[in-house]
Amino acid sequence: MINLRDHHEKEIKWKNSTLRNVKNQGAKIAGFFALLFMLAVLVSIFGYILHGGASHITLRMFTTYGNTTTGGLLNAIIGTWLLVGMGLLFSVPSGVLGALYNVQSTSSTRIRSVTRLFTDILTSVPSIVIGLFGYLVLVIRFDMGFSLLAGGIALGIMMLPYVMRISEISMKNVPQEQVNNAYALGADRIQVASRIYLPQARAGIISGILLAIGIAAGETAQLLYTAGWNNALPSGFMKSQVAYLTYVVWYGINQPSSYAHELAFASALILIIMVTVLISISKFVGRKRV
Amino acid sequence: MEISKLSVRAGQKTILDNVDINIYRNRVNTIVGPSGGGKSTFLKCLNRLAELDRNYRVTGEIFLEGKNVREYGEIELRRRVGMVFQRPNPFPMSVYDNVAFGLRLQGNVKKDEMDMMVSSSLQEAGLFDEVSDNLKRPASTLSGGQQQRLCIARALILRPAVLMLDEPTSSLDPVAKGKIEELMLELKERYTVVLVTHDIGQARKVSDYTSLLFNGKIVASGEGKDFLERTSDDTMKAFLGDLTA
Repeated sequence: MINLRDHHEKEIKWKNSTLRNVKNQGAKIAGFFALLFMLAVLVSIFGYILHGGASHITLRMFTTYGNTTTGGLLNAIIGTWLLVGMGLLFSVPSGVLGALYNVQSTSSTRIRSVTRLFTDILTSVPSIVIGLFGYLVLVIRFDMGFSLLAGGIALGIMMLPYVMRISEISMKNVPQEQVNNAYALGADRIQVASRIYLPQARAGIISGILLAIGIAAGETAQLLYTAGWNNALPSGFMKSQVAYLTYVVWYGINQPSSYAHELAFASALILIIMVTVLISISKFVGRKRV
Repeated sequence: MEISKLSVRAGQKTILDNVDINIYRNRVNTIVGPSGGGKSTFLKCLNRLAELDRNYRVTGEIFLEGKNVREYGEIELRRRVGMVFQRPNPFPMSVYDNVAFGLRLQGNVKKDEMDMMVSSSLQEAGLFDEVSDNLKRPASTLSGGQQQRLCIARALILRPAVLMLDEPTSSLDPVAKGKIEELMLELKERYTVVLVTHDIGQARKVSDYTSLLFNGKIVASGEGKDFLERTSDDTMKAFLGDLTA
């Protein structure tokens, strides 16, 4: 005799497992195609820029100044690094100190959650809005003009949340026991910061900084309103405009000149390589445990 | 040290409740009791580490050599009252730098003076012979037991009056544990030792004065190694029974 109930249960099990298998397989296939699609997009961007840029890039572009339609890119390359460097000057001290404050403060968690909310919002503020702020407040109100200082601060505002959050996360990974132990050995707050948190979170902080550089180097919108353009290098921190690579891409592509297009492609290629290298280094540094 | 009416509250919870206890000089003073009974918090009150956590409300008086611990600066107090934690947690530095850490915090110490202090602390912690061939090796290459003795050396370099050990052997194997127990008996010649443990066997081996801390209260205390056996206290007996069952 067949035990009906057993038989019935087996059937349900079989049905469930087939359904699950079909779902599993479906999800796998969908995931695979999504991945394929993403890779295709990535490869086509890289391929397009590489194809367009590599064939036009010349050594002269690295050695001469230019005005986006003629000449080279040296002023834009140096200008990009000057702006990023200025951004670092503003974002690294405040970001790292802010992270230290957040991990060390014994005060209410409310302050911490407010700063966290603030940094989260800051990461998602559109760069054009930061540009507008930079223009109205820095360029006009503080009378900096389109300049290294105004552009650097505008970039710094954008870099700050990355530096701060990644620093904070890596400081949180420092074992609390070691922190307590340092206090138990008579360390004060500053010594715990400088001898325990900073050395042990160093790799994480550096990877945060590199990521922020990578992101900042590719920004355009806030610089349009704060840095301007310069056919040479800026003569000072204020009231002297600065050239940068993304401007060449943004401006050159609209010009009725094939050399302007070549410059734009070359700039895009340089940017992509810079960002790729920086982000790869940041991943590598972040993974390395000291 | 004299501790009177020490209470610690965290929110609504009472962690320590009116603890009165004396810590005797050059003795091993042991606090035994089940986990979660407030033993670690008790130690953290003696060096005011508990105050780092704002949730804790500490009341009562603690005197070190006749002076209220609140009259010492926190940092000065922590140099006088050393602490070794439950799990060995050397800093990610060399053996030498680990031991030198506490002294370096105080400012510049001459190299030869530092060398001398580091080796004498390692000797006192019974680790010197095992590591003297290379003090620059990373502390993480030592075994668990060696790491814990390194932590003891790190605390001893400050020449504290009191050395507190918070379940120092709970993560160690029996051999390493035995070494640290022997070490405690040597250390009490020069230091006042406060040992927190839930290991009754360890208390029997090393303790001169034993107190039982149960749910934040001292329910029994007495002198001598056999105090644990001759106690008539019911809570103590129940606790001992729990552990031997």
